[in-house]
Amino acid sequence: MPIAADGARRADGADAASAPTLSAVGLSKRFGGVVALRRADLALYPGEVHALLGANGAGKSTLVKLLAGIEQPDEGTITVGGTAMRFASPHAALAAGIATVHQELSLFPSLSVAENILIGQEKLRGGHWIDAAAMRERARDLLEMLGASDIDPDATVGDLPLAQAQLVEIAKALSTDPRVLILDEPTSALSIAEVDHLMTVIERLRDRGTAIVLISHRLGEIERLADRVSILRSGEKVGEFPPGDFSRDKALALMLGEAWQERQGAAAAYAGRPDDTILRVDGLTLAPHFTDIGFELRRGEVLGLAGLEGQGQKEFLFALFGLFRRGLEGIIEVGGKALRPRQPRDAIAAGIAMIPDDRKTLGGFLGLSIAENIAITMLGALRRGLLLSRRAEADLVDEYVRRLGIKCSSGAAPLGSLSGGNQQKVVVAKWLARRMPVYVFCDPTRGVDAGARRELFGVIRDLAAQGTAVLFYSTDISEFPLLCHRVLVFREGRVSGSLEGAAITEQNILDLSFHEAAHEAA
Amino acid sequence: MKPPETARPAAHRRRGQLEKHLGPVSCAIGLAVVIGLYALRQPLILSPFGIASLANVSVPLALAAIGQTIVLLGAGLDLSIGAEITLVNCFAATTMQGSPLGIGGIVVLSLLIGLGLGAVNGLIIAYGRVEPLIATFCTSFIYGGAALIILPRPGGTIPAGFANALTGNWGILPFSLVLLAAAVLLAWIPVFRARLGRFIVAVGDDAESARVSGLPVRRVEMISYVLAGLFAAIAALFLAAETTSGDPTIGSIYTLNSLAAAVLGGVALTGGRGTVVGPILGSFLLSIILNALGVFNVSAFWQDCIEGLILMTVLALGGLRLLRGGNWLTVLRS
Repeated sequence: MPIAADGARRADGADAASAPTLSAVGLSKRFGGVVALRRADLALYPGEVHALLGANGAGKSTLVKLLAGIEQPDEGTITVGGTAMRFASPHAALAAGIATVHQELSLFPSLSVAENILIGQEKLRGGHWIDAAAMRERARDLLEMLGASDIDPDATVGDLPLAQAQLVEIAKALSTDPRVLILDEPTSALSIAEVDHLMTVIERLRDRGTAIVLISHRLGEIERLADRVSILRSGEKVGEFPPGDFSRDKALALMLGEAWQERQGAAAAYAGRPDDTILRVDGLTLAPHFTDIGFELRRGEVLGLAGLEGQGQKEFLFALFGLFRRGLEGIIEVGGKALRPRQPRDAIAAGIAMIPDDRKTLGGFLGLSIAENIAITMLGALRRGLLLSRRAEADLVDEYVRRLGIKCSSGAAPLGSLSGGNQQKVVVAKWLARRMPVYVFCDPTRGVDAGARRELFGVIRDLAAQGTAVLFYSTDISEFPLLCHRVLVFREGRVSGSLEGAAITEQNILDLSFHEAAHEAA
Repeated sequence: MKPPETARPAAHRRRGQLEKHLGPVSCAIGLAVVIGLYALRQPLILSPFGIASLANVSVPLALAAIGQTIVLLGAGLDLSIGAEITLVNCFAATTMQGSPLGIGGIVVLSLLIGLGLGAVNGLIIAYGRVEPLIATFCTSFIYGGAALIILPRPGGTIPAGFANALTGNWGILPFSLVLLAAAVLLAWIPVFRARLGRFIVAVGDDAESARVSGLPVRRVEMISYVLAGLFAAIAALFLAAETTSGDPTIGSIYTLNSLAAAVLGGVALTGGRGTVVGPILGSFLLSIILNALGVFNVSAFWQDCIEGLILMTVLALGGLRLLRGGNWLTVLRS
């Protein structure tokens, strides 16, 4: 059945003559209480590229996971070649002819190209012995199909540049001769020339009659490659463009929905002195993550780093905090003093504190008590003579447990026994205790409930009101208008534009996330 | 909804407290049982002399186990503790008698050598990024080999004054226990009640978090091995006093036994969790069990097997705890 979602055109008509290779009807998926996908329909036709477009959390990845058999739908059916299917595992989907190239490559770096491509489908001789020559031959054929005969099947995958590894991954997906090929952001890590080659490869596969699903944030690629485009927003498919009918503006409007107009910048304008710069970054570059980032952050200012996921914002913050050991070029100045952060200690000494997004691995000690976690950055001040003063520690911890409303039985409880939101607060408390001039929040609300988020925003506003500078990165664009005085939008590792005050709206952010700087703020 | 919310953290805390004290408490109970059984068979062990001799066999292991515990708290492992003990023991036995530095000078020098041996381990592991298992296994051969060069066969002399000062007793209080208490007071407490100890535990709990919290991770790792070397050296001096000579094989049993005692005392092999009381009680329990085997007519040749079995049983019991709660992912990961 063709698709008819609200606000969308019907996808039948001229090419309805050919039956879809795969059609999905009414797919729904919930994770806990969160609806990740609601009644989504999708029809894939042979020899067509079908692009999925949407902001972070729109449901693209969930849809792909259902098609690839990684997750099972709560409702809805998937029909392949006329038969209804239920994929219990990725293996079942593969057997039905659906191959997926995931964003994170699933290659074995120490194995050869041929071994990787044919992993699990090794060519055997006499039913037992691996036939290396036959495998090399098959791998070479597959690579040739991709126009990549320059890749040696005997090369070790770990030695290949990323673009070639990506082609190996695609060859691996093609080795099962799939009817449907799903490409999840295949170009996000590639250079322009490499992207161009990959697009040619995709066109070639399409012309062989494969139905292709393409997820990409780059509208240029979608305009060149996609025959159909489906738009998703908050777990729902909100529209589909049939062949030859795609328009950027309509696509962006669909991605945002009707609600965007009411949500205007709620954060107050920056009230401090304009020359009160505490952090200056100029020409900061770390290949291949980000290029030529420059800005000035003033005392009492909340500066947001927006953009789609994976555009270099997180790497930029990590680099600022000294988590990259080498390769960083450009200038960082904190309080007028140059900073070359090679390890977090350098950044901390200069006055930068970081609240990272992954509390489990970065920042919190799950096995230690809440008190030990909070005091860890402050032990110098808690010393009386040679030993730590237990009383001073308890006072400090009590103060922050009260101030941040950390819900715990006592400061002696292990951090691991708290809920996600409260763990987050402990990590925040750890740095608040130290009173740093610059706080970096790296996607702090991920996996945090609404109440804890509100409290966290309160903490950030208090920090700014006290004259502390805050850098704020989030994958949820609705947070920037609520919190930030100024927003830089990242796109492909560069700042594609900056927004200030009332101009900080979800629409402007999304616009800059997809387009080159259309309206640069003054 | 309210009661479960408040009840859960409390239950969590109770379980946390229980887990923290499970090792020491079960060691204490085990110790009481073993001493009781031992005394039934051989009442003399409750005399001042008996107590002193039991303390004297246990204290070197307790010292080694404290060293091992420091390293384990930092999520490391020291397989060279036995060899460090051997090397310092042979050094002291060959130099102490008639040295121009005097007994005190040699004691200080011995402790410095222990620190140095630990520093070599620490450098290789923290700065050379070699796995602790491999690094300390290799240095154990280097240290053991050096001991054989200094003293190829048991010998050397320890002045009687030094020997009596460490191994005698004062009524029912053996000097060796005073030494152990002093070591804990002068080396453990100043470290673990101060910043350094907190850093060691933090690094052991999560090295990545420690790095982003700005802790000097490598230096902390290094220091944990240096401290282990110090405790090994104290153990070596005590052994020298006890045997009044040196022996190039004397330390070998302390590597595995120090691990066993620490684990018995509730120290987590995965780092970040443990006390000092637990390993000390564990050492006494283990030493007295091994010592009692003779009294119960078990051949000395069985000792190694029994030690290995005890260690494996304790480790397997730790694994059982994981199986009870977690899913396979957490079981396989830890």
